[in-house]
Amino acid sequence: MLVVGTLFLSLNLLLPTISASIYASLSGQSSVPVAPPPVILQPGTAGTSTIYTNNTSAEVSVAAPTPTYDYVLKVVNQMPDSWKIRLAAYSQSNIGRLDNCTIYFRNLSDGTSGQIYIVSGSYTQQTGPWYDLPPSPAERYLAITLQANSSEVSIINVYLEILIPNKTTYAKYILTFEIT
Amino acid sequence: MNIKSIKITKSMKFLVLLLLSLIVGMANAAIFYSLTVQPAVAITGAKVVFVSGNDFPTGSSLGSNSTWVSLALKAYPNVTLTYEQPVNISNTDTANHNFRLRHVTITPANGQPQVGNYTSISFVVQNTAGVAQGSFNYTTTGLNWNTASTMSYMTLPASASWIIYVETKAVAGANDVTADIQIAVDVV
Repeated sequence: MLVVGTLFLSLNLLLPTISASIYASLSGQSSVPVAPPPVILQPGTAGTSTIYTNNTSAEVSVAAPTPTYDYVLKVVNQMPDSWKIRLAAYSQSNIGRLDNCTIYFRNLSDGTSGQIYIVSGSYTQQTGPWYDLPPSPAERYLAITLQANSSEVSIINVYLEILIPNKTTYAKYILTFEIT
Repeated sequence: MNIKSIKITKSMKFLVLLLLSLIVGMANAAIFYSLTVQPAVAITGAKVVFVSGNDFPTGSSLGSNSTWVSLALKAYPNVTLTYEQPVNISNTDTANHNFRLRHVTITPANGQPQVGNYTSISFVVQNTAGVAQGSFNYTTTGLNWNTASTMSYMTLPASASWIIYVETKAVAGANDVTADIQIAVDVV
């Protein structure tokens, strides 16, 4: 019996151990070219606007005593594709002094689209509705109305979001509004 | 004819002995046995596959068995570009499966000046509800890539489809260059 047991144990030790699990690999390949921006920013005719490299970010300076700045930036479509655009405020400082501040889009003919509203120092709308940007050549204008109760500096940091219609693919440009 | 009447010469005897020795030699074999393995190799469709999402970019392609996908993404200088749902990973099985993303290759290679055009290329695995389950990020330091670390295995429930969300960003002033990334999706 002892001999049989020893033999069985020896055979087990001699057998190779096979350890496997069902395993497969799918393959994903991503090609990521750097492409020219489809939409660019251009300076406006009111206030002071600084456009940064590649025309994809900007800083706008306006002063509160003037109630309306029309327009502070121009959004220009460079592609034969339609887009939708909107503004979304993502950070701010010292906006409590703003009694009224509205940042809105307009085109040349058919009205405006209110994007960001500040009333009595607080947001009443922080993200605007989607607004059409037709294929090139097309432009939309960004304007501001404002009223402040003190002479300080307020900063509003905003994303200009550019969406492919019927998709959830979008680009974010950074805009900074400095309101004195 | 009587066989005993046949005369057997010495040379014939020697020939018979030689033939017998050859036969004995050939019959001398090692101790030998055969085990039998009979694998049945059925070709079945993969249970976990890629499925194109709502943001499947123009120019992308999906392999015929949905086990391979090529995504034609873009990056814009100084812009964050988001693809919320370029491609999904779908479990067509009635059992759960575990999967992970694993880096394979990326070009241009480290040290090439083109690498510095990129800020980040991020892949985020989201469940059906859009909740992030893990991320897989490529960033750069100077002219070198910080390649994504292999993810921990995630459990993809039976009949569920999860999202691969992608975000790209190039540096201000980036010029015409393309990064190619190969990623393996290991399925257990």
